[in-house]
Amino acid sequence: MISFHNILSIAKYERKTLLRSWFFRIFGILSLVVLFGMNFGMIIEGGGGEGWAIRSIPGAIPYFNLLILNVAQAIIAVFLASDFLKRDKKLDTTEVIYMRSMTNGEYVVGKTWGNLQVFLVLNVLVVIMALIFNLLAKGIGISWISYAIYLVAISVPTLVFIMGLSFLLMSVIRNQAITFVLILGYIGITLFLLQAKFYYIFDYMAFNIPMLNSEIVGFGNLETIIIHRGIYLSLGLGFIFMTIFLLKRLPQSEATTWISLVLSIVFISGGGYLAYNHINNFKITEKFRAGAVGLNNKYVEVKNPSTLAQTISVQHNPETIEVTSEMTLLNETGQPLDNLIFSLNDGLQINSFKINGNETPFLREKHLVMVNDKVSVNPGKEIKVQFSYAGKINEALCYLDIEEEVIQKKYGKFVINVDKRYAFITPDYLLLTPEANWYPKTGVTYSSANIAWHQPQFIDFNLEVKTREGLKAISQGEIKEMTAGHFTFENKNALTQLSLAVGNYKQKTLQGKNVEFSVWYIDGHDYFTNTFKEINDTLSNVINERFEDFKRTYKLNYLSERLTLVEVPAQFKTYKRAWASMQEYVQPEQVLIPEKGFMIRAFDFEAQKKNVTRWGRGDNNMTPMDIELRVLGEFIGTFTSEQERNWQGGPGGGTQVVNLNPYFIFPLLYNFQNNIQSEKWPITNRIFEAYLKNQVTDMRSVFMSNTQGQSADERANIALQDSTFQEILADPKQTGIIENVIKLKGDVLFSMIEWKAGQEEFQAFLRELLNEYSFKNISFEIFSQKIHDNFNLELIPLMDEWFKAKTLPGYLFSPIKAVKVKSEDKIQTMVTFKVTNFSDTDGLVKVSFRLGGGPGGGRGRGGGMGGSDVINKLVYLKPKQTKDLSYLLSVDPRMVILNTMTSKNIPQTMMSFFREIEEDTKAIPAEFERVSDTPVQMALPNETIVDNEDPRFAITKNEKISLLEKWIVKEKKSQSKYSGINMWRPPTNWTAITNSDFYGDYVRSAYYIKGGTGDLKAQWHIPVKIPGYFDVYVHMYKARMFSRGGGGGGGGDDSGEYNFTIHGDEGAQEAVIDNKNAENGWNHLGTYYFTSDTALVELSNKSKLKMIFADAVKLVEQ
Amino acid sequence: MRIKIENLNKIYKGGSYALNNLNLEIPNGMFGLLGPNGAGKSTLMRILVTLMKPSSGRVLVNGMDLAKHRREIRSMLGYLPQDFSFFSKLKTYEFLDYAARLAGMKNSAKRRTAVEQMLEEVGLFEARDRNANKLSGGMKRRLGIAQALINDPKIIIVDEPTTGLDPEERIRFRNLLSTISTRDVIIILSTHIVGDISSTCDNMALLNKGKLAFAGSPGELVKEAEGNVWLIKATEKEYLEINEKYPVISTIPVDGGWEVQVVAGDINGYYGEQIRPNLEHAYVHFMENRLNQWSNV
Repeated sequence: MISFHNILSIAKYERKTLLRSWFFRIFGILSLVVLFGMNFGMIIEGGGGEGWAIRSIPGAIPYFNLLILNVAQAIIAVFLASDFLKRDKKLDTTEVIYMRSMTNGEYVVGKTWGNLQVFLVLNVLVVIMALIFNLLAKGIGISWISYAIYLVAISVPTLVFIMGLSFLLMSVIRNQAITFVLILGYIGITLFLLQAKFYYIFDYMAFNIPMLNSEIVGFGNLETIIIHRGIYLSLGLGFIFMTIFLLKRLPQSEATTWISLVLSIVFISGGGYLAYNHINNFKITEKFRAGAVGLNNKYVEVKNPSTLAQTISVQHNPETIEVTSEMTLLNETGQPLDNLIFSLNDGLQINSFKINGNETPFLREKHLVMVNDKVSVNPGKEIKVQFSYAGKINEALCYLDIEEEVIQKKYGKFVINVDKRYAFITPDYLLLTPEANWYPKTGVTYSSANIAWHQPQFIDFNLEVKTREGLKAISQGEIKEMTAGHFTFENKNALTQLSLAVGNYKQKTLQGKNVEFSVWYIDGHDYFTNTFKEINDTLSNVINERFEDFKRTYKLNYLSERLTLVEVPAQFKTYKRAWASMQEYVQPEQVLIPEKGFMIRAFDFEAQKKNVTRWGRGDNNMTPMDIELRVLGEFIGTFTSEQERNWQGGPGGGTQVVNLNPYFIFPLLYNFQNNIQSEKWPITNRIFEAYLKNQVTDMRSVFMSNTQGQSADERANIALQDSTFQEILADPKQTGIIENVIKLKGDVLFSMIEWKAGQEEFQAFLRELLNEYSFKNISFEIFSQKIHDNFNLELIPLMDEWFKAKTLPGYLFSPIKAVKVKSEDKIQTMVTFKVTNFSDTDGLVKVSFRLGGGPGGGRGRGGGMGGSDVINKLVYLKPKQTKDLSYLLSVDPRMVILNTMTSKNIPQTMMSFFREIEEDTKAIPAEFERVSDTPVQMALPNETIVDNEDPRFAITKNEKISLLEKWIVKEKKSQSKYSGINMWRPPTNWTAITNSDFYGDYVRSAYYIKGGTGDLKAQWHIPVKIPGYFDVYVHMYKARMFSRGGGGGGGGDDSGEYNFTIHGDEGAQEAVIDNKNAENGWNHLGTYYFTSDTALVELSNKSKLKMIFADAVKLVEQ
Repeated sequence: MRIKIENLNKIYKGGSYALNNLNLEIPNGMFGLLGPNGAGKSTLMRILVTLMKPSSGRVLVNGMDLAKHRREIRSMLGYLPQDFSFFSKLKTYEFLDYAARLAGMKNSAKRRTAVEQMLEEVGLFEARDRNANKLSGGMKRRLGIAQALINDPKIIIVDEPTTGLDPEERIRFRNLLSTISTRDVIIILSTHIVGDISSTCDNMALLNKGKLAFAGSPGELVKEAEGNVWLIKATEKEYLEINEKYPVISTIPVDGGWEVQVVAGDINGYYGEQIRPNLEHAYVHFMENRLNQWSNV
């Protein structure tokens, strides 16, 4: 019989003992102070993007508080928990406790409960504090249930587990110090190395498992949370029972001891079973997904009819949907169809399948519905197919193209982890996007074997939705509420896809010039209405103007009548795809915004206002209206910027991370209105899309590659050096750069067309074509024919080469010279250089002169460089051809960019700045593009150059990698040969980097290292043919921040030296170059006599400089 | 109450015997346990308070086997170990309350009364709010005794309880134990201070090398020493010889020499007289003669 009296007595005095411990008190006070500061900063003061993630969803407040406390208490609990066994071991006092009448179980459970109580007291205090901040904050609701659930789900399993583990280790090892080392080591590994790896199975602190409680749908993954937390609760209990079994005290009865052992085994096995289930659930999903892709691959080649129209009727039930879908199909394949294949989410069970009104047998394999019997559709014939089905959505079927690693990657903001969901069917909410495959489509879904599966079709959709009274249904088209809970949607234009959201929605509308702008938000989430009081009257005009600007930028039209923001649950997640730049967040007429835009800083209007006010303090003329306009501008920018740039902190500094903006509404202008379709080159539409989006060089990308290492464009170019475009498209590992590969390849194709057809002429032609074919597919054959008709250009022969070619051009450029020349009465700038295409393939180089402004400050769209301040020239080069180029510019150029698009050159985009251009009175003004017989030479006949890419170059390394790092963080190693320059924390080993200022033929690279003690060296072994005196030069690079007088965070001071050792006939001689006096480029090191076959020049890492560069060495025979 | 120890053995790793076939009966009242260091007293006590398991043999408490009825027997026990310190964060009152709770006092009102009363009895009421580990050595000892006595245990086992106490406290403690021993309890007192046993115990046992050397009343042990205790008046030179030949109990300097108490069968040639032995004499006599005889046998 268990004595609760004993347990509570022991717990009471254990609690008192711990509460009086200064160690715990300091920890408790510190935790409260730190969390107070964080709450104050994020909830009251705004706290940047992180603050909005916390404030926008009420459940996030207790979530982040308890998560942070949990990490700290998980560590402290180890000290306190292991302390009691140590205490008991040391003091004879224990004997007077041990001889009392109680079971070992009562004793250990009492101690555990006492420990737990102490931490729970602290947890409750933290929860109360969070609640107070929650109450004090304006416009934030309170999720009471979250406070309770997080307390139970985060803290309790963690504490029980870590205490159990500590008790157990102390019982076995009986040494507190070793126990600390083991458990703290374990904590460190789980927190810093394992993190969310292996399906976050090791995440006992709940730091990585997604647990955000949405205000719309609650927890999106309650089962996973229960299983995961159950693992640690169960293991913790098992460890505690094992401790009871192992306790060095004579048991009250042998039976209870054995019961403890049995319970221990039961709980540990239970934990193991749950862990198995946890992992197995993921594995089953992975297996299912692989099977689904396999199935798609099997049937991807089957020809399918086109869908002309589709009428869908949906009944929203509490946990399921019941749907009837009638499709009108047309055989446009040119051959009879005896088989039909449809795809429909496999969670939806088909109750009836009819062709032309007749019930027809079908075969269902996962998501595929196959009809093989009694079907024959002749070319040009239409049939009607009707599906009746009901059920749930199997989300495992979504995003089959996305790698598991990406699917499993953490998603959220700050410490808030959000589960990734792709569809929702709950009693009060429903969200279905095409990715959920909630209505039948012809053909298969994602196939890794053939991208031809993706053929957008423009379909006349009609939708009818019945849901419970009080809920609103939102989809494309004009909404009509026939009766309460009964909606119909009518579309004037054909659509490529249909989405449906049902919930407790409210609407706010603004009428634009041709478009109705509206926001559908969940009732109670209107935090924005009062934000723009000052510009309320002009709000619709401002939005309208910005939208018109956006259309003008791309010279494209928006043909729908509505543009709607629809709030969706926080868990709704999308991914970028290979075949389209759009993500599921953007639907025809709609942008889906996860819960108040909790991940988007621009949605935090009040904080944005404060920021704008703070930033504009010096501007006395800034009115409240200006502030609101700026905030609105930032908000609209969320949808009109292609890229989002985030600052990612890191040890010693940080880097800017550029991601594609998933809310970018470009697809509304193109993808949902046009589609250029090609069976042979299925990526064509994507290329057109990329071309329409990127007609200018993204300056930030160029600058980033110079300062932060390889840009995505560069990585794409390198990938194209090894694989064909076709191969890259089929390789799922290349998803990270696919966008850039497409952009580069598109650039090559269209530059070629523009070169032949004329840039302006081609653009005008293209836009006219798009207007003509809006809401219709344009076949590539038609496009090609029209190109031929208009420009007499044969496109199809170009395409095969373009799609499959592996050979890339490779260029050498001579130094670029710019002089001022007098031409007639005006002074002009003449820029001259020479370029040789040394490869066996045709090449095209885009030369862009930037005439004004600083880098990165171009018009709109993330610093794009285009418009009147840029002059673009295209230079076509045949294989082995050299051209002398001369350009006359009436305005001083600031810089020139030589964009080789796809080439053997690394970096493929090179830039040169023009600082002070001097007048050359002797120069004859001329503008020409002239074929030359003299190719570009890297070295003169009396020069020998060894570059860092040369096999005669060597570096010494410092191999210090911990075993743990070796085993666990293998993937952290960069796969790329070249890194970026880390200004704040240069590497301690020689690291390869690229930059257009470095010396090199195709590859302009160098090695750099942190200035150190001289233990590491870079060595150039230079061949010497004839003994004699040689001038030795080194190619030096002065990081841009140095030359600009110290900006750029890491190393403003450019004072320091380069220490060389020249091994010549007179032995080893030291030579020093003062960095301050050095020039960017070749610097004279001295004159030396060499007789041996090889001269050796060494550069040591000994330097006061923050970093030093090893590039190239040149010997010039005297 | 009666404790019966049958064929009790405790063998440590390596084969050394801490207790060797011990048979003993402990009746109601104060029971003294004497023996030199390493005799097995502490081992016996740790077995009796269920902190240690014997290698073989058994202990019956009122007929209940100690190995099988730990719950019942533990609820009868009060124990004061020799080296006793406190959890550093508890106050005097709290510590005693903790002990009272574990001793089975569930009713909080009754427990409070009992704890306060016990604090009064051991003279710690005024110090009830002081941290237990901040008490003086004597006070700590008293608190230790208090926790052993709380909730009227039927078996009280105290190990060297008067060590470190001043004479006044020692007498007070003896009186306290004597008072309690009048109830239906067994008090087992292990001590080096023979006087503690002689003045309080009705029965006693003497252990040596894990074996029972003597069991009986202190009077019986004293009786065995009768005729063997001498008071010798010795010169300086004789004193040195006597010191070599006999176990000396005490020496008092007198004019021209010494008065020396020795334990011996005969004092051949020295001037002296037989005196009435006390328990201390008896203990020395026993250890010197009986045990040596056993060893020789």
